[in-house]
Amino acid sequence: MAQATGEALAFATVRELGRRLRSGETTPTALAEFFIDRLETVGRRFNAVVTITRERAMRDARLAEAELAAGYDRGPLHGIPYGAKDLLATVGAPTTWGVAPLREQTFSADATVVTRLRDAGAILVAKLGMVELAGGMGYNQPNASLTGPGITPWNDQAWSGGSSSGSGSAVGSGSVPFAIGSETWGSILTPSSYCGLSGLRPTYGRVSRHGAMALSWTLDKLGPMCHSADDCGLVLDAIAGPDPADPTTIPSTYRYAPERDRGDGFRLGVLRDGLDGAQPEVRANFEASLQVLGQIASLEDVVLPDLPYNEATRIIMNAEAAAAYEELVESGIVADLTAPEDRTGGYARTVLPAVDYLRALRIRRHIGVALDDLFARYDGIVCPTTAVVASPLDMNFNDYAGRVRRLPIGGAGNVAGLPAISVPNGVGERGLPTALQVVGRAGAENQILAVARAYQARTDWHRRQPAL
Amino acid sequence: MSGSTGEQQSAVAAALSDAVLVRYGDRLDEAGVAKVRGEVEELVKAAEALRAYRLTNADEPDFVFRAYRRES
Repeated sequence: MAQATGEALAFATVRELGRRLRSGETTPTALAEFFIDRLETVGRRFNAVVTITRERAMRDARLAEAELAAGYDRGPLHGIPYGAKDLLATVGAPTTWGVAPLREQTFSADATVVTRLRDAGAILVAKLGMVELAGGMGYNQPNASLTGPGITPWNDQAWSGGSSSGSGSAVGSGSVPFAIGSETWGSILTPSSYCGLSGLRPTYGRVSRHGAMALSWTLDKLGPMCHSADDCGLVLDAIAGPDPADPTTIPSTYRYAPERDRGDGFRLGVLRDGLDGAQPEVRANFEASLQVLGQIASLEDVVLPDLPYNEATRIIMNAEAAAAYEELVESGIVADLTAPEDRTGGYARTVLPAVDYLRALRIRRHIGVALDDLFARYDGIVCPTTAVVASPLDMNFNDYAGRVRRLPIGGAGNVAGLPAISVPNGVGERGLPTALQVVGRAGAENQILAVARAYQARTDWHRRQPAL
Repeated sequence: MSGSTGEQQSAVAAALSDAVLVRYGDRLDEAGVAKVRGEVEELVKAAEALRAYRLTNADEPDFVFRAYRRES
């Protein structure tokens, strides 16, 4: 690692690190050591780390080093360190789900995503902090994890977002080159926005959930959180695809092929629902983003069909969480959760009538058809990722965001299982990042990645680094 | 309970909350009981909003959910 300086490595993209590895400027073991040290000295300051998987990481890094030296190249992730949200089962390290009483929980097999990343040559260096039970108990403030509140690297008095809090702050602080997060309703896009990252929520079923903690079987998605949209594509390519262990995976394979994608001539819908309540900087940065996007796309204002997105999402999530967490609630473990509001958050939903759940599922079909009719006309629909920047650490985030806490596109995109990518697009109050999201129709990851790459080719927000 | 009045919704929420308390009341203090009642009311309100959306007997749920994309 002689020639590469620390900061240059810390915030390098996967592609840049791959070039350094193949030019001999660094090695997989040097990179693993560098990022493990970075996690210890920087990542922990932001409560990003649960467990550093040093032994496993160094073993895998030595293997990658030998393979690359022998000319066996597994592809762009070979020798690249990464972190996994601590709801992904991994052999040899606890998987806590962010829950203090489960700090010793272990599993006997890796999650499919972890296996696929290992097959691609990526090096797992850490299990990353998360909101306990992925926020499924209804937390309303940042201090809701066994590792403490996630902190954004951009302001040590502000939240990193949830529930993939550690994935956000670890990548955002240059403590890992990329991380895996999960989203049921906002948990990849929100921390990506608050930490200044590029984060991709794939189409539901694109990535196997096998070995991941379940919050809501029909809403949970796993996806990459990275320094660039291009990196999101590289990671998605490695983790996507059918998996017999998860019957909800999409049967067709996915390939990231940026060389085949357009760089302009896009058609984008512009969604302004809920923006009247957004912070002024969020609105201004979104308008500035539209100026940039106007260079590569035709822009057309759109409105979402009038459907009960958030209500359907709420009912589905609560009904499925009531079942998924039934044993935890019955066991009484929830009484020892970190956030006081989480200790009683699992009870109300136990009396949700089955007919209400089924009604929500029936309406979901209508939502899917109506949204596909709209989204099929565009390469993507753009809007701010969040209407506000990260809330202060000591504040209820619902109080901070007010009525725009959940923009309609969040419920719509998640209940319909649509892919979306969040990319940074400016600075808001207290020096915190703001972000733009591009949402696509089901299966349209490559289109939204192409739009995001074209945007990032004309801006440098994704290259900005926090002063640590 | 199509088109329930606010009063009816509150009564349903109160009855459902009582059912929660039958099962879990011994784990809840006064603040916890109030929180459960508030959360049940929110769920009842969301379910009521869904009831306002018209469905027919032919509308089935997706039991294995897949994100919808029209075949072209």
